[in-house]
Amino acid sequence: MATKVVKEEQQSAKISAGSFLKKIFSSDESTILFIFVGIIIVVSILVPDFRSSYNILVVLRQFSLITIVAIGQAVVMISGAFDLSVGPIVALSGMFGTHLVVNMGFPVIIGVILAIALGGVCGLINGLLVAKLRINGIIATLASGWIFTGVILITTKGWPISDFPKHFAFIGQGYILGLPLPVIYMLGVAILLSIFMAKSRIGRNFYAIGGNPVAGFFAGINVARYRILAYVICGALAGFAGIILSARVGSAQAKAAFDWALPSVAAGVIGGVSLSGGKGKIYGVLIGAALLGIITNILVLIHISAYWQSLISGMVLLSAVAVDSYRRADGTI
Amino acid sequence: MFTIANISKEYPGVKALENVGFSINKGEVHALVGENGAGKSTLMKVIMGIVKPDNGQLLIHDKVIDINSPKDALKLGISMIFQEINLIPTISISENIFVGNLPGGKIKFSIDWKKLYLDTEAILEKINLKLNPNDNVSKLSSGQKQLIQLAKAVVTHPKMIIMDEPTASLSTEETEVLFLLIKELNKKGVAVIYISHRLEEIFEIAHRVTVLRDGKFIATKNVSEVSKDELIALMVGRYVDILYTPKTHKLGSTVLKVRNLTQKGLFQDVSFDLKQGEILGFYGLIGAGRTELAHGLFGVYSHVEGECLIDDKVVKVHSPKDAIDNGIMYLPEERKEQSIIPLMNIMENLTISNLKEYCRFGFPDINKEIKISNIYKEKLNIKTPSLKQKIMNLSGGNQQKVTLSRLMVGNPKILILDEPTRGIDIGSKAEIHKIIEDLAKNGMAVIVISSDLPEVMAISDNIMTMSHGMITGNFKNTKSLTQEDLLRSACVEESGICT
Repeated sequence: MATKVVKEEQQSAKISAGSFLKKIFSSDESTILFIFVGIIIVVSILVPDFRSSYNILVVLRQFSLITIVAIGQAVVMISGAFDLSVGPIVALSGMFGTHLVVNMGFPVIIGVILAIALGGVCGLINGLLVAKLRINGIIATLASGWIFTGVILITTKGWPISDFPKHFAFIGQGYILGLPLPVIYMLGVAILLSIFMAKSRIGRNFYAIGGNPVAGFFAGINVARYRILAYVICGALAGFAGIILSARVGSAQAKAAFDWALPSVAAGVIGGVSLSGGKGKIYGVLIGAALLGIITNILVLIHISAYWQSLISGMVLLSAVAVDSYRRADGTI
Repeated sequence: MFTIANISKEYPGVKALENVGFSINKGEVHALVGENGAGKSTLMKVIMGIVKPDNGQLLIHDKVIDINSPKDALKLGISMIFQEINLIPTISISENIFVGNLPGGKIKFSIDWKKLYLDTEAILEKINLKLNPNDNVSKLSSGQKQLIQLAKAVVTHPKMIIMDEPTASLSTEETEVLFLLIKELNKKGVAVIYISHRLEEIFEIAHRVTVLRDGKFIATKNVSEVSKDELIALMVGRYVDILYTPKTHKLGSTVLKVRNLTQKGLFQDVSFDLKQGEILGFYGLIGAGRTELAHGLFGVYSHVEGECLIDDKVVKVHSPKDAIDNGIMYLPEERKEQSIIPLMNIMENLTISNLKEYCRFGFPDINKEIKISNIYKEKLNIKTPSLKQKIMNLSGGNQQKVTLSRLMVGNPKILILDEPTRGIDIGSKAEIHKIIEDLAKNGMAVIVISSDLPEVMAISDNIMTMSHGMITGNFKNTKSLTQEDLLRSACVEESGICT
């Protein structure tokens, strides 16, 4: 009897195609996935322009970098905190990496690595503020974000960097196998982080400290260290997005990505990441970001003024959260 | 006076209540007992209008009543004291007690602060709390908060009060105050529905007792006509012949020596020895410093004065992780707040403290995890359809078995269990005692902190009592010990270092 149970459980651990589908259908992300697929199908039928490969690639490229930031944000949110400084980290790291490559003549790869490293250092600062000084994550990163922006403005006096060499512009504007590079980066980051969060020990512990930090502490997890690590991962991803963004738009600016923090939170929330931590999937973030990303595109294609975009994004966010709260409601307040 | 008639409620897959019916008389204490999951909470939620029943009625004086929200219930004179504290921490005691019916002043919408103060003073005196009505609630102990909740219920002049585990966080004296107040309410004709796992209390305070099992009504008995064993048999549907398993374990060599352990303001000069295969009980009143001492041993405070020797080697623990690495495991007092990760599944909750051992290159090997989880599922009789079930969906007893398994998988030398059976139904309680006994038999050294006197006396080899952060008693032979001995020792008022 006992061995039979073991066998059954082991079999269910090996994911067959059938159980994989079942998993998706029963997961918390299923609602938003169906809504997303539904919208794609309806729009594809009603608006033929939408499904042209040119259009799809344009849209994908548009939201790819903010999605990378949103994935970092989700790591922080799952571990039970927020990072409102992602926008300034994108700008600061982008500026720094671009300066190294364009003005100082460093190789592109070194510029990218150092931009990621600077993002990581910014994350480390955030993590120390939150985990060691125990400052509330929202306030700590709001303040550090202003400080990061301040650092850029003081050092550059507000001047952007432009006139990039071709080989640098390529990492943001190039194509491989017909796909824009930023889209490839986004997919790569999403796949890596999905595996990391769902399968690794560190990922598991992020969910644990987000779900119940006190219990995590008593179970022997070094909560402070994991909290810091989450911010470092988020900062490093923002740093990477920063230098790519600069290469893609052809100039590095102090106010680039200035308002990305809240959309990056929203993408996660729409995709099922819990505001109180401990819950969420990376592919959910991908769907959430995509949903926000296609709104503008759809509006343009069906000739509705772009002024509507903000209103509709707000409604999408509200509906996603409302559906989630409604499903969890148990009659009490 | 109040009748519950044929109430049924079905959730997907579970019949939470099945044709439950009984009635409550004016001025009586009606105890409601049953194992976790018997349907007590659901029934109370129905009475308070939080859950809508599929079938059945509630009647007051043979008239059908309609309750759709807690507000309706309050209007009909039914109020409830919840197990979880739900006071507003940032406002004063007086405002908390009278929230919703603050006395009005001369001008419309104003408050008569003087009357509020005096009324609060009067009620505080009644519940024997020497507190200033203007103090904030946040500073009070959990026992005091529980009594404030009681005051809050009483001032609405209810006809019936439902109390859900009211003594869970009360000290012995506070419990006495509660019982006096209940008796006074009874005299005024107020009925009390009293839910408790502590059967001793039911025999002390209740007039009648109703037993629920698996959502079904089993029996209503006069307390004077039923024995404890009968009651337990009704609750679990079988006789639990030995509530406390006999001791068969033997003591080995000393594994832990604690010398003059001190954490300023929490505990002072604590010294004791712990042997292999020993079950050492720690008894004391709430606030005696037992939990704090356990935290000190487990590295919760980054620095403590004094010495700990494991196998005659001095060890320094600065974090729970250090403690675990040194073979000490700790089961926290509050299962919900400090032990379980509610959104994670049973397997993940079980391996969390030793996850490294189940990893290959930093990635947990699920098959290995399932294997060990299944071993403990069988061993501790954890009832669940799947190991992938979220732990929050299990009953309290089963959750506790999972957290006990979490401690056991690492095979530690020393286990510290803080209130391991609090809020757990009788069936699981007996199983947990058996588990502790088995651990000792296998040579583990176990410290059990418990406020349950009969439990401490039954399972421990030796018992230490604490009061005000100091060891006040060390009882070697528990056979000739009486409950009074222990209580007296736990109430020693000396030094006063911690107050």
